[in-house]
Amino acid sequence: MRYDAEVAASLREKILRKVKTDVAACYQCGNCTGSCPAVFTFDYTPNQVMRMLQVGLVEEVLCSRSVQLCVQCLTCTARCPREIDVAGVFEDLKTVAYARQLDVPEDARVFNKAFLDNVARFGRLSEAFFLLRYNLASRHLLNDAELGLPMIAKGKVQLLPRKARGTNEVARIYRKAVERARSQEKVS
Amino acid sequence: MSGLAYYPGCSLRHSAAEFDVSTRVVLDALSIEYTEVPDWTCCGSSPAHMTDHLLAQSLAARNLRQAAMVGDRLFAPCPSCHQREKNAALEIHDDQVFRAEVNELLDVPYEADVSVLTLPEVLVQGAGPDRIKDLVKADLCRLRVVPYYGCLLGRPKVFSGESNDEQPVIMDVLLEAAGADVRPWNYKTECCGASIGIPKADIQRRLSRKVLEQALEAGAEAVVVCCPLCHQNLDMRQTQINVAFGTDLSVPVLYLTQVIGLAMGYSPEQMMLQKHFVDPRPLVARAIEDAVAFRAEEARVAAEKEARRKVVEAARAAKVARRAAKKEDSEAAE
Repeated sequence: MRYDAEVAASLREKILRKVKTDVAACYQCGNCTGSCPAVFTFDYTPNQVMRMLQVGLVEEVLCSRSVQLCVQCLTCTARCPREIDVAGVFEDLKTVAYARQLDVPEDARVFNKAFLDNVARFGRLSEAFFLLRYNLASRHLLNDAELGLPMIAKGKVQLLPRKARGTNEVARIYRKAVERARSQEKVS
Repeated sequence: MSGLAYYPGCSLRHSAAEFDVSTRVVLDALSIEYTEVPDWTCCGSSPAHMTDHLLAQSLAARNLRQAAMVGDRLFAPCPSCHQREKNAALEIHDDQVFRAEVNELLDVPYEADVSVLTLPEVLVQGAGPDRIKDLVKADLCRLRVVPYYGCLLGRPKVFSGESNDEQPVIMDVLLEAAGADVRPWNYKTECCGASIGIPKADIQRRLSRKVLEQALEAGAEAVVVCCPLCHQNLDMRQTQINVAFGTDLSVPVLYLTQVIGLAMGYSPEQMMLQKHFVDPRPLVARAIEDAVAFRAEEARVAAEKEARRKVVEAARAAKVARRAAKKEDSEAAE
């Protein structure tokens, strides 16, 4: 796919600044890809992502499945001979996609939102409520349904979540951080 | 204020209650004093740092600030919580401009410098393997285990205090001190799939299956973990793995502190083994029984060897005596 070189160059500069890591140092050895446990589900391998960032294909990377399906195991970072924090770049790409409110694949947005909303509401994660909310929002209604009863029987579920002290501060942190990220993305 | 603050984290309150209970029991037994972080809240892992960096660091900083009320060190048994708290602590302590940005989001600013430790670090620094060895009451020498570090207990080494990302050793040291039969294996730091088990089940099923199969391959009968999410993926989801692949896996998964507690003589019920999906109790009971038989056999073999040694020694002494007598005789004849 062809891309506008000028736009690509500006995007690349911006993303490089954002990711705070010298992606330019990547010399395509492929260690990251060889080590990645989730690469079989990726559309672009980690070394391809590094190369795409080098040539400015930022939009393609931001909307890729790879960025959303990275499990953040940090193996790529640990093994990079050029000392690039590859997993950190993936993490930062996710945050850029979030601030720009991009429509990313794989329910990642729904998952993260259901989790953080839950934390903002109760202060501490209520695992059962979070799963219910996620299943409703992602329309995977029966996801892990078979685990529900055994978990309750084993006393591994809190059925009635209570608000922890400090919840209001957590909710404020969440609101302020999201507002800030979005307004900064608009400015730049 | 000097003191050790304990950050349990959300999982340890419910789905991993047995990790919380066994951690407290083991710390008490080792006389390591700690205070729970007052009014702690979620560290945000992992959705917060996938959403916004400042959000992630501020959620973690709130807990550091709360911890500073009771101590100058914080430990979190969950490696994911530990990683978030440590990550925030390192960045905030190192960069005063960033600290100010974080403090803008907090109701009350975080001004302290709380250092963050893993649970194994607390056990090694606060007690050490020799103290654990001194407290061992149940012999676990026939409990064949592999220590599973997962992603975040050993990586990155600047966080974990290990000297090698690929070969962490701190769990090995603690399990050996507890007397377990620790097997070497290649999957110490492979990923189990983490929270991807919820939105993308197929990734988690595949990765967790590999970990369990490699444990069996290494001759282990149980996997020892130090992470509530690893435990969830390997234990709670083991049936889902079997359904997905038509396998017949039944591998008990224990928390590090449960194994240490069992070695110290606490009962399987006190260590809440009944909470697990794959019941480890038959394995543990058999291992302890086996150990009695194994030690008896060891003693029998040693006694036999000693008896043989005595016979040989006696024969040798008789020979020497005979020779001396012969020499005396010949000398007398001369």
